[in-house]
Amino acid sequence: MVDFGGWDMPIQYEGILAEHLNCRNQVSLFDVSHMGELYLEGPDALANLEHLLPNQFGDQQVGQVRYSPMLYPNGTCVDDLSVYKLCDTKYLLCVNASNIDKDREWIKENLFGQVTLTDKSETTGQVAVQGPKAVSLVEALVGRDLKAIQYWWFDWAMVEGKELMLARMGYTGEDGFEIFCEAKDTFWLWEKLLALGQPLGAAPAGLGARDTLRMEVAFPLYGHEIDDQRPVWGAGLGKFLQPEKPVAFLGQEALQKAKKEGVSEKLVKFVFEGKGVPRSHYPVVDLQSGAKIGEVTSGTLSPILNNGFGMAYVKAEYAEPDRAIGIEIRGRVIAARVIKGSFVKTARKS
Amino acid sequence: MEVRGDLKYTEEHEWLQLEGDKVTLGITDFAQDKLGDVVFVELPEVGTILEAGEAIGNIESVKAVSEIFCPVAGEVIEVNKQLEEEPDLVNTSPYEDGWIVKIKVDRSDFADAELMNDEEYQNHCAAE
Repeated sequence: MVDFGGWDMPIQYEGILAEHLNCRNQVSLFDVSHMGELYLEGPDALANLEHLLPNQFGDQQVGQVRYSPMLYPNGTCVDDLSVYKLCDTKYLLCVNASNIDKDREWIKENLFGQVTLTDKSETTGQVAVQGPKAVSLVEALVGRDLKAIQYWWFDWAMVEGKELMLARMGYTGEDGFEIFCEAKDTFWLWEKLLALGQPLGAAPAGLGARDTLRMEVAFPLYGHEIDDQRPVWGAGLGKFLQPEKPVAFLGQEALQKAKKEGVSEKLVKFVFEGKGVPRSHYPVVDLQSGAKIGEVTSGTLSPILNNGFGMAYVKAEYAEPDRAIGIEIRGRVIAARVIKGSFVKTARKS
Repeated sequence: MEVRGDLKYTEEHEWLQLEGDKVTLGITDFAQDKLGDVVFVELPEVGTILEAGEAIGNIESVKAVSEIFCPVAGEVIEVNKQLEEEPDLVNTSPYEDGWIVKIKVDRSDFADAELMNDEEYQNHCAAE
């Protein structure tokens, strides 16, 4: 168990590799109750969202989820989050555990008009059910067909008198749901899913597998690929950033400038040509000159590819597909190649 | 956790077995369990001359990387090439097939190194 933002969290149950493969092949349960849940409510909720976030929300439907980074005026990230539209005047913002306090204060400082912000992180539980058999498992839980819920949409269910919010999404690249419940019902939900999932091969997975799974599909993690140091424009999150949005928002000028002038460093995906395991903060070097050209943000050995891979910020001129780069591991340089597209083919990409 | 009576142990969780002037070194069952799934073992070159306490390689698990130390001076005479193909032998057979290197040492050197017996090592692990 590790302390994770004040929560005791298991890194692994069975072992990261076994848990990783179980999620890719069967179905895995992740206790993600540590995530933060902030509610924005009032007639001006939408106007505030549009001002707070660089993605657009005007065309978001009730029942739809939308991802967005949240920016400081200088174009770096406060956090990244998912926005659930509960009704025209109420939104749920699901934020990273380690950023809950910072996000709440940042949002509060910037609110205007008729809107309130409520932090329900402590009283909300969350279990992610991910993998090829995840939908079948959640269908067994709620006793109805859920295929009508599209990816990045959510719906509600009552099971044994307990209200559950089922969001068809995840952080693994697999199909599945993130299930929100009252914190006091989390244990019940967990046990219920494990029991119902037994014939489907369901097993718990910890933070370790959650990390290697998200790396294989190149999902960003706050503190690694995005943070409050680097401009978000280099992170390849183009479709979630709308610099030309007609409403003024925090970080807009910085984004417009970055779009026009470019950024000096870009996030790339790389795979190893040689043997080794890349990890955060390892230097990226030019293979010919040995000069430092960047830094690894996340990396591991892919349980699926059985090869070292990761993501790194490199000087913009090195950020083209197939470019050869070097990753320095304890003084030795391992050859790597910049790739386009995902490392591993999965059911869902984003 | 398995601890063997015929081996000596270091504080950094390596085990050593002495046969004549030859030492076989690996990491303990306790260490492999803490590390989790081993995916890569960085081995030294045969012929490397080691000083006591020197790092001889690295073990990469999915979780983390950790150095392997050799508490005695000597020369690397053999490395476990099998680990290049099957690094998980360190997990499944830490005291047998998962051995890491064989070192030719000066016997007196070996006795000088601060090593623990099985009972002392067990206490050491319990205190961690």
